[in-house]
Amino acid sequence: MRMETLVFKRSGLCLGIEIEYIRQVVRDVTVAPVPLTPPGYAGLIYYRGELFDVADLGIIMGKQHAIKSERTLNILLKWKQKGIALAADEILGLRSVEEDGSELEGFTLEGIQIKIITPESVWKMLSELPYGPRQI
Amino acid sequence: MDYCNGGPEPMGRTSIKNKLILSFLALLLILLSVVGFVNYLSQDFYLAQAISAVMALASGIIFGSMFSESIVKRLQRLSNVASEISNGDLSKEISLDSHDEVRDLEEVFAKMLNDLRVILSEMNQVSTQIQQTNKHLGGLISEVLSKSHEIDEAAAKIARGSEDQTMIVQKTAIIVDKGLERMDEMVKKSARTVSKIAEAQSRSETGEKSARETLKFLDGVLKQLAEYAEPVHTLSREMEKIKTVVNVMDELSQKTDLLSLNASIEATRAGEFGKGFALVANEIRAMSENSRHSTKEIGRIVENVFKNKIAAIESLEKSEESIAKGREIINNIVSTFEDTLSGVRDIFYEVEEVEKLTLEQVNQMKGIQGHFHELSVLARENFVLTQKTTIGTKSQEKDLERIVEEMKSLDRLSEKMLATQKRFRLPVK
Repeated sequence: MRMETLVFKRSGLCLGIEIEYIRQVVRDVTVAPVPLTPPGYAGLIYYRGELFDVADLGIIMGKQHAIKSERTLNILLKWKQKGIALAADEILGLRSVEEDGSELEGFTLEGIQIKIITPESVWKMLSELPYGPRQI
Repeated sequence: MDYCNGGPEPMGRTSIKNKLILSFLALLLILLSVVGFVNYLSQDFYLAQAISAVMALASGIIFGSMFSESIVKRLQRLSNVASEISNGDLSKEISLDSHDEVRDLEEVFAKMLNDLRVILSEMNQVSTQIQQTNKHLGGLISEVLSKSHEIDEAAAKIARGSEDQTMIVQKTAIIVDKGLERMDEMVKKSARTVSKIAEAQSRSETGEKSARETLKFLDGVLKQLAEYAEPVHTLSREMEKIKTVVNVMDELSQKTDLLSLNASIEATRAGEFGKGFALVANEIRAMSENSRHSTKEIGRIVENVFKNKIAAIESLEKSEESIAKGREIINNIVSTFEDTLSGVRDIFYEVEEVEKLTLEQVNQMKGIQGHFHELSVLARENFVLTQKTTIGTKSQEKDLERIVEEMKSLDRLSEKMLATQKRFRLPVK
């Protein structure tokens, strides 16, 4: 079985996520910052009657000095009734990978190392933050 | 009255000759009377003759004795008076009793005595006056001597002063000579300075002219630059419009890209049913991608043009600024040249004035030099004259000393005269 992924770039990291979880890719939506939340948690997006927790994977994955673009893209995900948004600098394209192969963890695209992430792992990373959204 | 030269006899006067004639006639009368009387009595002629002779002889002796007695006595008195006069006694008076020739002698003698008294009195006065004059003269001579000493000292001082003056004048003349030489050099230097200033003035004028020409040229360049800049500014405005359009195109392509991406995602999620849609979405995405690339390329080109335009405008602005600065600098240079020229002209006139004044001063100094030479000559003459004055005062002192000696001898003579006069005793008035 092959798995279709969306490859994007954030703070110099190249990441890939399965298309199945993607609700929509949006640009120029307002991210409302939430007080007393850690830096990796960018805030909330209200999009078409739904709330999305915005995760900045660049900061969460150790790139503290993330480049903040004025026109940041947000990849809206739906996973277990949860809305998660991933901040992205650039969409590199769509890529299909073998679901049971060695590419499940990551693969190389045009000489660039791509890491595959899942909404679950993202949520886990958000939960592990010192003051995660679900711990309140 | 001259009684001694046989002149007519005065009235009421009896001369000795008349007295003798009268006495002889009286004696003869008496003798004749006696002879007549005796002859009458005795009738003897011879007796009468004898008696008459005896009587005549006796009468002659008696009359002769009486007459001589009276003359001798008066002569004796005169002799006594003369003797007293010779002893210095002029107080005696001569009595004038008779009216004969002896009276003439007595009168002459009395007159002589009187004249002698007057002479003595006058001699006394003269001696006293001589002594007083001597004293006065002595005082004056002392004063003259004192003054002469003072003159001598003053002359000596003047001589020393003249000597010093000569030295000073000579030294001053040397200094004036040196000063004159320096002033001559100064005049030459002033002339050279005037020449250099004139040259500097000419160069400043040329510089000012060049600066004004440069300014004019720069004004032309500025105008040309403004003309050149106008199309660039027009292009810039057009480029701004293109940029706006390119931005709109970029926005559209981005939106199209995002839309096609979302469509691709949706098509992928639709699986087998969405494959056709996915193809279309991919195509649209590829188109939008191309459009985006083209837009980006156009944007890049526009940006480059814009950058170049900005660089060109900046360059133009910088050029304008530089030219404006250059213009300001050249304006300042022109102003500086004008100031310099004005200053140079002022300096030229002032240096020219200084040169004229220096020349006048040199002429005056030459006049002073001449005066100093004259002064030197005068000082030398003064020195000689003071030397002569000193000699003259010395000689005058010697003359005065001689005068003093003469005065002393005069004084001695007057004293002697007074002593001689004192020997005479004058009647108390």
